[in-house]
Amino acid sequence: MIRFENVGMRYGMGPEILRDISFDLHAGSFHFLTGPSGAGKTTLLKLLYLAHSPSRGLIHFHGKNVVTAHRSELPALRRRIGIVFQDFQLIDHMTSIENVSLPLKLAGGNVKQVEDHAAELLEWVGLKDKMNARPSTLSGGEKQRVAIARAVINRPDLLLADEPTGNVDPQMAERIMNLFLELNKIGTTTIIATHDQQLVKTMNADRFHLEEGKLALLKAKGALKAPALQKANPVPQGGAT
Amino acid sequence: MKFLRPVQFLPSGSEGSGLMPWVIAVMVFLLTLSAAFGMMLRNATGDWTASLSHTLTVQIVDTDVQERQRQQQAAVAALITTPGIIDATPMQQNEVFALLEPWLGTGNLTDELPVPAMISVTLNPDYTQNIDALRARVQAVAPGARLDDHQQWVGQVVTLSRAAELSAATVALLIAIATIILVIFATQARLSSWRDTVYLVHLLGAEDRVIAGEFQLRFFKWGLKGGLIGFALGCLVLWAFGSLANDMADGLIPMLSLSGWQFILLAFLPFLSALLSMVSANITVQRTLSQRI
Repeated sequence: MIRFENVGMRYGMGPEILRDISFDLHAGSFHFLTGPSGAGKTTLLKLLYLAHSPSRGLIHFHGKNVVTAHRSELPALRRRIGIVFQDFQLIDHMTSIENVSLPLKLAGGNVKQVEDHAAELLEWVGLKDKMNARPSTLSGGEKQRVAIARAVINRPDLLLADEPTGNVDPQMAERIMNLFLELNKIGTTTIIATHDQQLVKTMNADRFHLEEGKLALLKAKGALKAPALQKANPVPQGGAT
Repeated sequence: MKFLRPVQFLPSGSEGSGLMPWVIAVMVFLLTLSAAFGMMLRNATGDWTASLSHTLTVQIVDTDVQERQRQQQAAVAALITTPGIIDATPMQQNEVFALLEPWLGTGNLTDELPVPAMISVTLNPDYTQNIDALRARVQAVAPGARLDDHQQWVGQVVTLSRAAELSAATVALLIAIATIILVIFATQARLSSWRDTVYLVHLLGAEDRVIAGEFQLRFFKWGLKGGLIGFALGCLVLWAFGSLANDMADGLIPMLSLSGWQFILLAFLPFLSALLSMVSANITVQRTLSQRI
């Protein structure tokens, strides 16, 4: 589904942050992205969610070369990607439900159906009573959950999450990871950038490891495991795809 | 309004509108006045030239009063029998004095003053008069006669009027350009202040036209609001000017007025300013996004 070919990335005239990155990401795969701070994880995620174009190399998304694609072709591809930003990036003047609904509205979804589905998702992440709260009144963990609900509302083909469990308690972290696994089971390709070695070990997933701009794929032995201390609620089924 | 703003992602209401509607109001006020004065001047020149183009003035210059009167009567008789002349009326001395009074002052005109005898001639508008032949015909019976068909004067007035109209049109054009530039700067400022949000919705898959839509609707509303205020103020000034002009001595200045369709044309200015603001904002957003994101 995604192919990187000899991708290099530098900002301006600075040093190359990523060097000769090549990999194939198959539909429905689940990967962690690990590496020390400053290794280039966020830059790689930015290339994956089409925020930047690489300095060199090719990136194919669903067979389309996004490096040479016209900018008018990119929004449709971006709508197939769900992103959980490390700093949440919620829109401050919007309520939780408005923030969660936004990707579906941008995709042209029916407003009523969109908000119904957003409400269902917010209820699932335990924020039923915070639907009309603005981000400034939410805790870090609550913002994280709103950001996750926003990322998954349009059933993305590719889900990218930057430290998605960094601001939530262990129980909520498990629920979030189970949500990601549920989405992965129904075909969503998932990449989760994390520093949480325990989480990586527990789930036994394949791992991309970045160090000094170089990417290595570390294959897991055995099957992917859910960190299921408790059974996750089923993923809400409504909404646009 | 959904076609103008497919998705709302910036705060609603007038939040952040600042002084933009008032700036547009000033621009539309100036645009209304310049356009109105341009049109008024055109109307006045048209009326004036039309009223003068079918008239002639004959002056009989002779120092001898008796001879002057004789030539005046002979010239009238010659004129009235000429084809294409509807009327030839000798002006009485008091009428000639009344014309001179504004320049020479009341009471300064005496019978001894060698004021020319004058004849006011009305031409048939459907008849092409040969002025040289007419002049020869009149001078045959009144050697002191001078014919003035006002063409030199009318020509100068028309040239002056056209120059004034062109100036008014240039001013209107410059105001429109200044308005567009203002909207471009204001749009860029808004884009900068909402940069993070715009960037986020861009990453969430918003097309440029969707982001532009959020800005264009705002500028359409501000353009319309400012336009209506500016137009209303402009109408107020035009009404006050019209009242003052009416009070002035009749005939000293031509009547400045607008026809119905010209006023309707002016009434489109607020909508034009709204449209101009909307289109300028849309193009600015799309260009900025394509350059920066």
